[in-house]
Amino acid sequence: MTTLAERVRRANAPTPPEDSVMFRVATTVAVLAGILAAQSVGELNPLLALLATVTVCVGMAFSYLTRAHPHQWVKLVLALSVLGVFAFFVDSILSAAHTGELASIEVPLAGLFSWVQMIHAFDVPSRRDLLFSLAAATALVTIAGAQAVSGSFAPYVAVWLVATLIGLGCSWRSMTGERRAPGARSLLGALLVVFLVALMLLVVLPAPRAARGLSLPASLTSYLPLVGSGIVNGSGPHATEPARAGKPGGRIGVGGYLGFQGPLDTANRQSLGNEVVMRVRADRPGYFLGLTYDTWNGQSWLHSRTDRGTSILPGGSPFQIPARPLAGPQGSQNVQTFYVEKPLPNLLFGTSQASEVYFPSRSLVVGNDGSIRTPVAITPGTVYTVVSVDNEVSPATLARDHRPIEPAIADSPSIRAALQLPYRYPRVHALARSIVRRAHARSTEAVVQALEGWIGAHTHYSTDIPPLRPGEDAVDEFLFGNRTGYCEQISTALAVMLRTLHIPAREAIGYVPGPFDPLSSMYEIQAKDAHAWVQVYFPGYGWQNFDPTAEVPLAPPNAGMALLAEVGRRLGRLPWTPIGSVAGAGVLAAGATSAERRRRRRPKGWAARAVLRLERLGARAGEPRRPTETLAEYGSRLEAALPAPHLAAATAALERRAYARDGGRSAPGDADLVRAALAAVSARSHRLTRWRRRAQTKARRARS
Amino acid sequence: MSPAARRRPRCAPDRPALPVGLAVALLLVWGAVAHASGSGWVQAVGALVTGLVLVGMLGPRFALRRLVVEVTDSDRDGTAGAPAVLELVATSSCRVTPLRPGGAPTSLAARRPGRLELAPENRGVLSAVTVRLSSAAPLGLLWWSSTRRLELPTPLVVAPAEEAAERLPLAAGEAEEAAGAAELTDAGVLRGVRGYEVGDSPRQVHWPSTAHTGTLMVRESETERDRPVKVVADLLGEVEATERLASEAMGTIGSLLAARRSVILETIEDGVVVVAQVADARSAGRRLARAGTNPWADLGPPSPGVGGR
Repeated sequence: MTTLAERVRRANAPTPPEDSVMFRVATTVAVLAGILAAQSVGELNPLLALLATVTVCVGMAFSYLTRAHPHQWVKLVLALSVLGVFAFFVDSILSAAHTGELASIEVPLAGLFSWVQMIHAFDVPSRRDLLFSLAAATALVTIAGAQAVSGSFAPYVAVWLVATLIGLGCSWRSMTGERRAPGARSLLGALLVVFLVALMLLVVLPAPRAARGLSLPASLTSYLPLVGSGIVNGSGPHATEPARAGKPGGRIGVGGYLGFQGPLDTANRQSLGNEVVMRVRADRPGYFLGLTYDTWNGQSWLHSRTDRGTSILPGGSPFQIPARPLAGPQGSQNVQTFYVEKPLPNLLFGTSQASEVYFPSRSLVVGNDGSIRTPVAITPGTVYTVVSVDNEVSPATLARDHRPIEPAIADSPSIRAALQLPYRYPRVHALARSIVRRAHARSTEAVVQALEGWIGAHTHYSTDIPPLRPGEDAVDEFLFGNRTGYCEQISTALAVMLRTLHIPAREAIGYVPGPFDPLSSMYEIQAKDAHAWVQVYFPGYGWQNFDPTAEVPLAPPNAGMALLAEVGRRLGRLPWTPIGSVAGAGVLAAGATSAERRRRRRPKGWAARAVLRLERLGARAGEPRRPTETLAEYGSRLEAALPAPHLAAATAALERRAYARDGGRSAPGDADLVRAALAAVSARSHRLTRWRRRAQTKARRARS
Repeated sequence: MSPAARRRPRCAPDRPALPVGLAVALLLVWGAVAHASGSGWVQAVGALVTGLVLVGMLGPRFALRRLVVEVTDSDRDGTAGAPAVLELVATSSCRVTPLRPGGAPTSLAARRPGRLELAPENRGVLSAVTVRLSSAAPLGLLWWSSTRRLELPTPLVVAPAEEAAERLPLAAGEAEEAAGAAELTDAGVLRGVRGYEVGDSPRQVHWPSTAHTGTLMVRESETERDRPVKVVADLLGEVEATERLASEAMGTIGSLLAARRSVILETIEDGVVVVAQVADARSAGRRLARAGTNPWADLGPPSPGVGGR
């Protein structure tokens, strides 16, 4: 029976040195991919990443050179260094343990693995050591993946995968004592199978939901305190600058949706781009509500006096958000983590009713309009989590319910504000009544559906609409004018129609989930996903979301512009830095290969170059060299055909030079003779070409 | 082709419990980390690692089924207990471990000739060998093996090892003559040829052998008085007993030949009694290898379509 000491000794017994350069290069590339991946997601600072990159390369070279006789003192130094790094890691974990955040473990872990890779790179003599490096690189890529939120992480994963595959292939070859590199066909086949298996698993496995393992994520990249409790738009030159009022008819740049700033002026014409402003990992997608408006003045949505009030939530993260008045029943939880990509207003978004918020500040401001505002600017890199309690009820349940609003609630300021109108809107009221009558709608839900159906059937969606003329009512213009608009006009029209029928409704704005990225399991919210919809009050169920814009068909678009915009959007989302690097390296490699090939093909020596030039000139003069012709024969023929003096003598000299037994030494004056003959042939050939062209032109003219 | 011949060789992983258990545990931890961190990229990397592990663990099975190993050359003669060499070529890299007869395992590179050393423990005639082919292609994560029978291009005749005989199994009535030395003379029955020595008569030069070998050879004859020793090798029976008998017979014949006695060996080969003089130790070994029960008979000629594949 073997003792433990013997087992340890056997496990640490030196193994044969690994001679495969390709295996070593592939392992180095996989390790570097892991290090750079960790740096790209902010888990390693750039200086450490640079140090790690250089050290790993130097260490791998050192290991290769000393593979046959690894130094024992190196092992000792490395073992002590690893112990030191591990102690530092444990200390970092213990000091960050009180935060309970995932990032507080991942960052030291990434640092630990990077240091281990750096140290280990100096002692990688054998196959087993290289395989350990590959495993550590895999761990590093995984740790980096925990913080990756976008597709720009894909190139690092691709490089790691290919390098690991090549490394493992080389390892197998090394096992069988084969020195050749693994075949490209077998590697491509393996890569394809790996990719298909991964794809199948990603399709079958449920997408990860918002992190619950430790604490819910929340972090700030910069702490810029704001003054007051108002909403700062975040699109100005400085993140703490108050929002600028939009101008009717003026166009607003990418990302700068001014609806969050208040008032929501429907005369503004938005031109929002496809820049990703936030990424959201949520249990369920939904309308990410920012705030609501309850007062309509014919052009803008405003806050009523009741709605304008705010209260401060002290105590720090996590904040317990008190239930809003008339919030309705509490359903299932929906955890949403927001990763901010662009400067945003100091509003926290969340579906339905937020019950808990994880945000790294000492306090939050909760508005009576339902908005949650932060006392610090929301800058790129900010992460926060909102736990919402969804109160959405199915349309069938709402349709069955015919309860009237209780008098106490009907007299509440919120409901009164939700029925407010600046004037009577007789045309809108008549239209709404006729629609409801035609649809035989009896319940509130049926009324909303009927109005949504009518809007969907009679209006068009377009962001390219003419400016609102001064003094004109936005709803009148939309319903009885051009009947074209976007979410603000459409939702406002529904809200006003409902109010004319004495159904409490208000304007809600926020974001809709953008496209879902299956790799990061996140919804990518773009600037153009800013949205306005309607909340309708249902007795017993609270405020329910209705989105009439979803029913409205698009106005006929300009196909060319749409195609260009789509191409631009897709091109803009590509990770250009890695693509550029790879393409640049490819072009350099191709250029170097081509130059080398040209250098090899170039005739060596002046005589060979002179022969080539003579053949080209002869071909241009219409006398190409025949395959069976010797150089001297060709020279004689060319001399007679052109004619070119001394050409036969020059070609004889060239032949002497090329085939002489003494290594091709030429007689003095041969070079001059050949040069003169070639000059003569060149002049004659040019003359012949010109003459031919002239003759062809004359012939063409004569024909025409 | 019969169903048996069409059947693919069976492959099985070598000690799979530890690597498979480790892989499953690793992937479970991976999934747990992905869902605890809520990161889709961890899941994506985990899926790719799963793909790598699956290719690494199941790939060898397919590689092994497609693997073809052929014996391109082999020794014609061998001795029990001494190594005999086969030359092999495989379509992809693999490890070959000889099972019957045993020997040292060797690694083969794809489409490159490799050597396999066999150590046949018994005499006999080998027309095929049983080997275990192992592969971990393409990633070297788990070894799979299958047992194959490889046909030899020419049978390997394994002579018994020489062992000093305690009791000479001579034919009755010839013991006394066997003890005496044969008298070599210029005249008489031609016994063989040998190299020229000083003092040999030029008349004794055997010109065909001289021309063949390039050195001067002389005829060697023996008188009628030099009667051959007859060795009867009855090698039918249990393998161990017959092996011992064959070794003793080989030792006896070797010592008789060394004493320049002519030997007549009587054996039963393929059920037929063969009585013939043996010229040298090699021919004696071949005769004894073929005699009686062939310990390698069960290897036999390989089934069509199975051998070497």
